[in-house]
Amino acid sequence: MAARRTAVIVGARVIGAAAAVAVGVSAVAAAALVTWPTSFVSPVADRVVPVPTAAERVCPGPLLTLAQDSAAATAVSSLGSPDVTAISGAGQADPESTVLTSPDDPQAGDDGAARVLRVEAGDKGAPLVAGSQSQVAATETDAGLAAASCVEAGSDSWLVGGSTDIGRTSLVLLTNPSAVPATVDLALYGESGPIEAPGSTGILVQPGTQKIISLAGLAPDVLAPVVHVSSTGGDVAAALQSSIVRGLEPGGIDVVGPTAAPATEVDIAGVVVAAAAGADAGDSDAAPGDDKAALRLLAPGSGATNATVSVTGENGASGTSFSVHLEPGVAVDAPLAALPAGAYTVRVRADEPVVAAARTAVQGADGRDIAWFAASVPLGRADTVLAVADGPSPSLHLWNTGSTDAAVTLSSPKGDVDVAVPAASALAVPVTASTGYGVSGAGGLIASVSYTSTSQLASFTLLPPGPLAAPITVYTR
Amino acid sequence: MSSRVTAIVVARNGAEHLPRTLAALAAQTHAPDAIIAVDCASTDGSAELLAAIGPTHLVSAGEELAFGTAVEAAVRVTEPPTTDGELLWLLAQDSAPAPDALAALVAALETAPSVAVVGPKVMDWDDDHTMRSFGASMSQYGAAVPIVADELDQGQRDVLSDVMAVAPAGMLVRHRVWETLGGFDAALPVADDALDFCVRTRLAGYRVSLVPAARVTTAGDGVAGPPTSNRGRVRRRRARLERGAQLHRRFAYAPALALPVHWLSLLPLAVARAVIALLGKQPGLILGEFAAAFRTMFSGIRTGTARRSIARTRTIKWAALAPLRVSPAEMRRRRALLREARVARARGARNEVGFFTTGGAWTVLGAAVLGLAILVPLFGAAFLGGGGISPLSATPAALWQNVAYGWRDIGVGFVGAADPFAAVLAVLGSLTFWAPSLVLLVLWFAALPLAALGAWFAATRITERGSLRAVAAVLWMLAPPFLSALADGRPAALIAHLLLPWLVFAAFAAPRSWSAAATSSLLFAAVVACSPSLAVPLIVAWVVLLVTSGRGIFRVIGIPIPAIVLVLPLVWNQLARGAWLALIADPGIPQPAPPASVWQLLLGFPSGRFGGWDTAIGWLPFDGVTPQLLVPILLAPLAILAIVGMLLRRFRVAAFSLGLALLGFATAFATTLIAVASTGDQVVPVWAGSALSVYWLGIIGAVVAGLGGISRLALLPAIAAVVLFAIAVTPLALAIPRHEAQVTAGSTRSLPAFVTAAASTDARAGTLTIIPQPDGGIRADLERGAGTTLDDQSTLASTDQSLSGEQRDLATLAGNLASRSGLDASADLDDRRIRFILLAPTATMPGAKATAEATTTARRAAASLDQNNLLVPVGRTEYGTLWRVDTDEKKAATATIPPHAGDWFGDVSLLVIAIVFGIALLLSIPTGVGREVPAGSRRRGIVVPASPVEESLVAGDPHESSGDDIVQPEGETALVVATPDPAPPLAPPATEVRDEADAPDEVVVVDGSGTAVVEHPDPTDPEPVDEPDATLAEDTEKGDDDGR
Repeated sequence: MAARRTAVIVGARVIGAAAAVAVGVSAVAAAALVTWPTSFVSPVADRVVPVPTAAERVCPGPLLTLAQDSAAATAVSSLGSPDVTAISGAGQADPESTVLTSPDDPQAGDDGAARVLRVEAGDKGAPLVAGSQSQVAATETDAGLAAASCVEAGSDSWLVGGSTDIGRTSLVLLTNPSAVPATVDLALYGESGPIEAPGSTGILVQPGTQKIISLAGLAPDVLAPVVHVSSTGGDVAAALQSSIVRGLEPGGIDVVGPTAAPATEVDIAGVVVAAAAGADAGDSDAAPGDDKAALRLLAPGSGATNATVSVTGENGASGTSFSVHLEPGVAVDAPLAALPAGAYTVRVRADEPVVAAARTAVQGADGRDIAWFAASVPLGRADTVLAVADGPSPSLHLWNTGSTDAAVTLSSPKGDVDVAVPAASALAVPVTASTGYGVSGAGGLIASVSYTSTSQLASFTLLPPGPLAAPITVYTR
Repeated sequence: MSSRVTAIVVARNGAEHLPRTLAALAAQTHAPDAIIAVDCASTDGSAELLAAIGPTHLVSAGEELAFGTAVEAAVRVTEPPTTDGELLWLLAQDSAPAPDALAALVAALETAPSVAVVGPKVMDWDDDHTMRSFGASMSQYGAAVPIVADELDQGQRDVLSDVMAVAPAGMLVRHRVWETLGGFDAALPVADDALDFCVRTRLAGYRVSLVPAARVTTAGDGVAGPPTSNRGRVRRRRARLERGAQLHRRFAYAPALALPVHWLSLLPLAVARAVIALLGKQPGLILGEFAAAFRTMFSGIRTGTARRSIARTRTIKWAALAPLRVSPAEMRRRRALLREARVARARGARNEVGFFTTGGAWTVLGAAVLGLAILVPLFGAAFLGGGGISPLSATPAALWQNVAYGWRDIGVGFVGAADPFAAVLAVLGSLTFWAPSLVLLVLWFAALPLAALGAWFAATRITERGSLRAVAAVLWMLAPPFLSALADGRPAALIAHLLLPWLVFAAFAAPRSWSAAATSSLLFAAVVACSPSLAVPLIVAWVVLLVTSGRGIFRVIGIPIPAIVLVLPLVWNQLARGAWLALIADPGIPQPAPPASVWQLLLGFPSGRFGGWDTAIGWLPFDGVTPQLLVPILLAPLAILAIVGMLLRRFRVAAFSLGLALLGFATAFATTLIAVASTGDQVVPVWAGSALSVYWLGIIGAVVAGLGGISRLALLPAIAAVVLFAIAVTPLALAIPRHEAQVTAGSTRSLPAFVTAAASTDARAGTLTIIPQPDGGIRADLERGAGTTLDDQSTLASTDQSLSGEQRDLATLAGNLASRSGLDASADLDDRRIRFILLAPTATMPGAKATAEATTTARRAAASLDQNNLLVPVGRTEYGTLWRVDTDEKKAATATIPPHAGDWFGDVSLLVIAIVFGIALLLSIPTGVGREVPAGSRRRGIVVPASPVEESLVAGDPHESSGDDIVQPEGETALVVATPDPAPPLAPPATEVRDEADAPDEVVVVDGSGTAVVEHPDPTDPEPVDEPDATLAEDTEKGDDDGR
C-alpha cells in the first residue's frame, strides 16, 4: 500500500516535471517563433535650418616665388596679381571683394593678396557666391598657368599635392578671413609616413591676413607630401602653391585647392591628360617623376587598406583600373600610366578613409606646366553658381554619380546652355572664360573646370557650400 | 424586610443559549418574584422560548436595543418602586445563573443597605472553572480596567467585596437607585455601560459590591457587555465602541474647565494612538480610533445629558472614589506582565536564522573580498563615471525636493511627476547626508556582499542548510543581470537586484506578520520604483500570495499600496499623454543597450553579447568553440538541478520557483519588444536585466530546492554547478578590471570645473551641452548650475514624444550655434541664462569609435562655436570643449525655478505619499513581538479558548489578562502627557477575546415613544432592604498577592 502510494507520488512528480519542461519549452518556442507586436518610439528631433549668413569665399591670391632676393632665401614675394572672376546668386548683390593683408609678402601693396568675396544675406534666399582666380606666371623660375577656386574657410582641410624635392617649391597659404585669430595645426604626411615637424602646430593666423609657410621648412625632401590643416578659433582657407624648376627651366606651377575630406569613396572629375604626358609614359625612366600623370593617395587613419582605383575616360573612352596598397599615414604616388590624351574620371574605393589628388603635366613647344586635380564631393540639390576665371579653353567637367540622368542648365548673360548628363557617366562642356554662370540641376554631380593649351594646364573644383551651414538634426533629449 | 426581585431577561437572537438560561432561572432556590422578558426583534424563535416560560411581562421591541435600553423598556412596565427592597436582576440570554445565585445576591443586598448594586462572579459558558469577569474598575486616568478577567477560579478572588463596578450581566440593583440614576447611559450602548452606572451609583453615595458566591455565565453573545468574538470585524467594532465609551466617559466625568483641553486633545490623541496601533501591529483599529474621536467631538448633547445626570445625583466628591481605582503601580505591573507574556510567546514563534552559526557571515565576507577584487580599477576614485551614473544633488534637502510632484529641472524644465526612483535615491542619499553622491560609490563597492547577504537570507526561507544558502548567495551575487548592471552603471537595476531577495524574505512572512507585510510593501514600492517593468511579475506573484495566504489575506492585500501611491502622479501624467506603455521606462539616465535574443535571454544574459563571451572566446586554448555552444554547456547543470527539484520532495518550492522564472523570462522577452524612451538619435529599449533578475531568482530557488531534495550528497553537484556557472560569468565579472565596462573612475562633477566653480556663485547658470550624435545630428541639453543630477532625471522627459515650443526654440538655438549662422544668439542665450557652451564628445560604447558623421558634426560645431564672437573659448576639458558666453550677465534672465511649481497637486500627492509611507514604516518596525501570533495558532485560538489563560498562569500572574490583540496599555502612557487632569476616566477595558460568537449588528437605541409592546402588567410587592454592612475594602483592586 505504501509502495503504491509512493509510486503515485513519484509518478505525479515526474508528470509535474515533464509539464514544467513542456511549459518552459513552449514559452521559449512561442517567444522565438511567433511574430510578436512591437512598440518602438522614434527619437524626437527638430530639423534646424541655420539662419542664413553672409556667404564668403576666399581666393588664394597672387602666385608667389621664393628667394628673388638672395639675401633672404626663404622670403617670398608675389608675382603680379591674378585674374579673379566672381558671381553671386540670381538677384543678389554683386560680391563685395575685400583684399586681405599678407604680411609675409612685401609686394602685397602692388600685387594685392588673398581676397574675400562676400555676399550679404538678403531676402533672396541663402546668399550664393562663387569665384575663381587664374594667373599665368612667366618668369625665369616660374612659368605656367595656375587656377584656383575661391573656397569657403573651414576648420579642417586636406591639401594633397606639391613636393619639397630639389627644385620643387611648395607653399602653404593659410588665409583667415574671420574676425578672430586662428590657431592652425598642420599634420604632415610623406612617402615615409607621418612627419613630425617642429613648428607645424600652433601657427597663429591673425584675423584678415594670409600666412605663407614654406613646406620645405617643415618637411624638406619629401616627394609626396600631404598636409592636413586644422584650425581652432577662426576658420582658415588653405591652399598649396606648387612650382617646379627642372634644371634651369621652369617646369610648371599650380595652386592646389583643398581636396575632399578622408572618405572610403573619393572621386576626381575631369583629370586632363595631355598628349605629351601620355607619350612619356613608356619611358625607361620608371622613377615617378612629376612630369608624369600620377595619383597621390593617403590613408590617414590607423588601418592599412587596399585602394582600388578606376580611371574612366569621359564620353565612355577607355580607362584603366588598378589597386594600391596603402599603409596608414604613408602617402603614395601611384602612376597613371599609359593613358591616351583626354579627360578622365578617377574613382578611388577603399575600406579605410583615404584622401587623393591627381597630377598631370603638359609639355609643349613654348613651355611646360603641371596641374593638380583635387577630389571633390557631389554638389548639393540647390542651385549654385560657377565663376570661370580667365584662361585658355576652359571646360566644365560634370560627372553624374547618381543613378538618374541629370539635366543641367548653365545660364549666363549670353544665354542658357542645357546639358544632359546620363547616369553614372561624365562629360565635358566648353565654357567661356571670365564669365559667371548660374547652375541648376547639378545636384549629385561632381564638377571641375579645366584649362588646357599646348603648354598650360590648370584645374579647380566646384565645391558645394560647406557643411557648416547645412540643416542639422537637433535632439533635445 | 423581604426583597422583591424582578428578573429582566434580554434576548436578541439568543435561541442557542436561551433554553439553558431560562431553565437556570426557573431553578433558582430564591425564585424571582417577577420575570420580564425582553425580546429585541429576534428572528430565531427567541420570542417563543421566552413566552414559553410564562414571564410576567414579555416586551417585544421592534428593533435591536442596547442592553441598557432593553432593561429600561422592561423597567417601564413595572410599578415605580416604593421601597428599597425592590430589586432588579439584569440578565442576558447567555447569563445562566447558578441555582443559588439570586439567593446569594439578594442576601448581600439585604444585609447591607448601603450597597445599591451587587454583581455575581461571571463564569465561562462552557467552562465551569474559568472566571470571565469579576468586578471592574478604572485606572488613575479613567481607563476601564477589569479587576478579574479570564482567570481560573480557585476561590482566590473570593475575598473581593467592595469594588468600583460590576459587570452588567447578572447585576442585581435596587430599583429605586436605578430610577434615581436613570438607568444605564444611553450614550454607552455596549461598552462601559455598567461601569458608568456603578460609578454614578458610587457618586450618589451607595456602595457597589461583589458576591463571590453568586455565579452567572456568559457566552460572550454581546447582549450584555461587548461581544467577545475574535473575528476581525467584531474586534475592530469592539475597539471602536470601547474607545468611544471611554471618550464619552471622559467628557462626562471631567471638570468643566478641563473640557476644552480634552476636546482639543481628541484629534492629536487619535493620531498618537494610531501611531501606537501601527507600532503594535493593529492597523485595523485606526479607523475606529478616528471614528470614536470624531463621534465624541460632535456629541455635545449626549455629553451634556450625561453631565447633568451626574450633577443631579452626585452626593460625594470624586476624590472619594480614588481608593477604588487601580493604582498606577498596579497598572505598571500589569503592563510588565503583558510584555513578558508576549516575549514568551514570541520565543516559540520566531524561527532562528542562525546567520553566524550556518556560515552566513563567511559567505558575505567572501563576497566582500570578491567584490573588491572585481572593482580594483575603481580604488581611490572620488566617484564613478560612465554609464547611467551621475552625481546626486549636493544636499539631502535638494534630493527630497525632487521626490515631489513639481518642477523637473531637466533640459528646459517642466512641471510634472517625479520618477518614483527619485524617492529611492533620496532615501539612499540621506544615508550619506554629508555627501549624497557617495552612496553610489558605497553601493558599488558593497554590491556583491549585499547581494550575497540578501540571497542568503531569502534562502533561509527554503532551506535549513548553510551550504545551500551559500550556493544561493553565490549564484545571486554573480547573476549575469547583476554583473551587467554593475559594469554598465545601472544604479536602478542594481538596487532592484539587491532588494528582490529581501522582498522574497519579507513576503514569505507577510501573511503571518503585519511587520513583514509592511516591510514587503515598502520593498515592493522600492523595486517597482527602480524597475517599473517588474511591476507586472510582482503583481502576478502578489496575486499568487493572496490566493495562498488564507486568513493572512488582509495583511497581504495591502502590499502594493505604497507602490501605487508612489507611482500615481506619474501614472496621471503619462495617461494624460496617452502613453501608458511609457510607464515601464527605466528611470535614471537613458542608456541604450544592444538587444538580446530570445536564446540569450533564456541563458539569463541581458546584454546581447553572451555576457562578453563573444570576445572572451578567444581566451580559450582551443578553437572551434562558439559562445552559442559554450555558455549553454556551462549553465546546463543549473538547469538540470532546477528541473530535478520538481522530482524530489521540495517539488512545491521548485514548482513555485520555476513559475517565477517563467514569469521573469516572459517579462524580459516582453521588454525587448518595447522601447519607450530615446536619447539623442538612439532609441532606448526597456532593459531586460531587471526581469532577468526575477528569472534568476526563480532559477536559484529551484536549484536550491533541487539540491535540498538530494540530501547530503548535494554538495558535489552543487559545487560543480556553481564552478561552471562562475566560469560562464567570468567575462562579465572581469569587465571592469579589463576596462571593457562603461563604469569607470570619475569625479563628482558632471561638468567642467570651470562651470562648477561658476555654479557655486550662480546656481542657475545654464550650460548648453552639445553632443554630436552618431547620425550626424546633435543633442542639445540644457543643464543648470553644476549639472543635471541623477535625481533630476525624469522618464516623463525621456519618453516625451512631442517637442514643446521651448524645446523647439532651444533646438533652433543649438542648431544655429553648431552651424555657420547669421543668428544673433545673444538674446536667446540671455533669455535662458546660458553662460557656458560645452561641446561634449559623442558617447560611445567602450572600445567603439565615434562614427564619421559624428566626427564631422563635432568638427562643424567646434568651428562654428569658435567663430561665434559671443563666445570666448575656455579650452578643452575632460568633459569636452568649453566656451563661455560673453554677454552682459546683468541682462541675463534669472531662470529661477518657478515657486510652488507643483501647485496643490504637488502638496497633496506628497502628503499622501508621506502618510502612506509613514504608516507602512511604522507598521514595518518589528515592535509587534508576540502580538502577532502565527497564522496557525490564531486559527486554533478560536477553537481552544482556554490556552491564553494557561499562558497567563504560566507567566506567573493569574491577575492579568494575557490578551494579545486588544490590549492597549500604551494608550494610557500617551494620555499621561496629554491630560494632566487626574479625574478623567478613560481607556478601553482589556478584554480578552475567547470565543466565536455572532456579532450583533448596530444597536439602535429605542426612543421613549413606545416601540415596546407591554403585556401582562403584573406588579408585585417590593420588599425593602436595610442593615448597613461591611466596611469599604480599601485594596480590592490591588493585585491578589497583596489581597490574599
